[in-house]
Amino acid sequence: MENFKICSQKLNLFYGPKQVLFDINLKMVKKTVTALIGPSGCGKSSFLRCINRMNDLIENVKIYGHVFIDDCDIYARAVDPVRLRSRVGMVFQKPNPFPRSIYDNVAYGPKIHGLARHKKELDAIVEKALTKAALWDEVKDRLQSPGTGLSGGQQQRLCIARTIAINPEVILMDEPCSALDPIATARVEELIDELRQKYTIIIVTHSLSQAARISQKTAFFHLGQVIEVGPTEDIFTNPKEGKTQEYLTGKYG
Amino acid sequence: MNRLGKRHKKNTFFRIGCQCVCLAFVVLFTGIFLGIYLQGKNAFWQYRIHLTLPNVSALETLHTLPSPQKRVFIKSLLGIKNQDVYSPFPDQFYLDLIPDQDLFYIGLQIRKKKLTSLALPVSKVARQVLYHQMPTSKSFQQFMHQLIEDKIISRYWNWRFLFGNDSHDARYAGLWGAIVGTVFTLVVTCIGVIPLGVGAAIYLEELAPQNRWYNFFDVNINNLASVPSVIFGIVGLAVFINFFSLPRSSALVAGLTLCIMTLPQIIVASREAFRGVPKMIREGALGIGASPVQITFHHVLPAALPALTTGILLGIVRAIGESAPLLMLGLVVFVIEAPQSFSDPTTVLPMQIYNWARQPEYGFIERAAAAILVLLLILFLLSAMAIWLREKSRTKHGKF
Repeated sequence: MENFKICSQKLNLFYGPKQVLFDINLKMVKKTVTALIGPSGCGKSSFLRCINRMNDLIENVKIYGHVFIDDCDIYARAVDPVRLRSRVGMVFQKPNPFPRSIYDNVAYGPKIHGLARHKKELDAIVEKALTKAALWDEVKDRLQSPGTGLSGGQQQRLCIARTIAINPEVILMDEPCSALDPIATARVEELIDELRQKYTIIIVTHSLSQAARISQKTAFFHLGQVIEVGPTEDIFTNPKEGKTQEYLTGKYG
Repeated sequence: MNRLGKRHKKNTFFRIGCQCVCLAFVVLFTGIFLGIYLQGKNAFWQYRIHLTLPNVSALETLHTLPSPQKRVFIKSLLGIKNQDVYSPFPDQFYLDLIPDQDLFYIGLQIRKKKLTSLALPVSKVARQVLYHQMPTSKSFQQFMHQLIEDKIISRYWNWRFLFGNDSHDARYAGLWGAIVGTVFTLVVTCIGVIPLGVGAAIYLEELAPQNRWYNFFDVNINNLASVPSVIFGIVGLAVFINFFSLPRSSALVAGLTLCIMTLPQIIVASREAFRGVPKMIREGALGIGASPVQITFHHVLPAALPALTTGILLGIVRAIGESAPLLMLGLVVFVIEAPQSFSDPTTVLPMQIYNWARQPEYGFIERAAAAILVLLLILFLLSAMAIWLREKSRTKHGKF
């Protein structure tokens, strides 16, 4: 029996009258990288956003079904979405550091969650997060310069550091490398592989090779449904469903 | 090829047309401004004629007279009515002049040789000019400049116009009361409108649930922003003066009325500023577990600050130049002393301009024009401040 961290049950999502997700049943294993692949508009990003309730803020959204994190239904009434999001961090498609200093970018999360009691602790958290995000050596001399002044790849790693700093259990990544060049992508991929030791990572990606490189589990989405899910190797080498095979061989998508 | 040429031609025509329209506007505004400036500049300079009584008998006669009659005596010598003559020393007199009116009289008196009995060392050539020219002619003006150069008439910077209080006599009418009143009114307006306007914009844009009430307020705020300002004057009269019995024609009432007048405008401008903040910033903060209030105050507000300051200052600039609603609150009153508190009777710059512009006496039109210049200067400074603040906060918070 595998150790599941996240489990969705019969998750249906509507944007207004349009149904985006149909009865999603997915289980994601602790401390592994799960890749969500599929053609554009198939609902993989929407599903990702269900896991930390980012969809709540969109108008006319309706969600039916359950998502469990550690056997706790996050759509239960008693759950505070703000506290949930501090447990489930998110990294976005476009690097979006705050228009502040590098230090403040990383320190902001711990500050608002009260993770540090004084300045020294905060400094330690910032250093640890930046080191984990493989950015410390590059920025340690200019922590007070603006985060927006870094290169695209550095900005994305800064965003990952910002997420790590609040010590989440799950990290959601919505195409984190789509705005980066190959070298920066390689660095971020390395980083994701290291982060697997500690965090459960779910990554949406359009790059099949990226999914193959970094993930242990892969789920294939199509038109709002999960077509196939399994260990990455199996999906890529021996897909069971016809549609998966067609997508992987480039017949559509 | 032909189509490309046509398109290019159209483009050129459009550009030249736009440039012509811009040029026409520039010429128009320069003309208007120049007209105001040429009228107004006279109010900043006060002309003063110094007289010395040469003959002893006249002096002795003068000394026997009681003070009010002294003036009458001098006036009769000068042939000037309705003006005050001042005497700093027993045999020295001076008279403040209104150029158009008084120079005409003086010219006339010199022509009649009356003034020569006073010690006016007018040259022969000048006298020739005066005999044959109209007082408004160019050579007459040159003669006046000659008088200034000869230090018979002195011209000095009229501080009293800026720092003196209002008067029925154009020579002594000053703007100070109106300037202080404007500042007081503005303080009340700012204290009221900035927290309310920005707060309402934050609530509507960031925190409010999207329901029927939201739509109701949304539509009505936009409607209120385009209501004519006199209506707000009537509201101010009915609510603040009649219902709450606040002191009439005070800075408090004027400020509160301007506050409700600019409020919808500032809400609209502030919401626009908040809308301009990229969604990425909100999402980034949301992704690390910031609450909506934290997102608003830690990220959206600082990022919106440049646009916010511009919007607020533009609203306030409009409030400064507003006169219609204040007419309803009795701010046209003639205020002799600058207000000491928010409840004292006060007037504001646009009201002062309105008040002076309708005075029939000589000299007030110039003063109205000069007051317009002062108002324009204040508006210009505020706009410059808006730009400065925007640039400053933009460099501080970086670009997106």
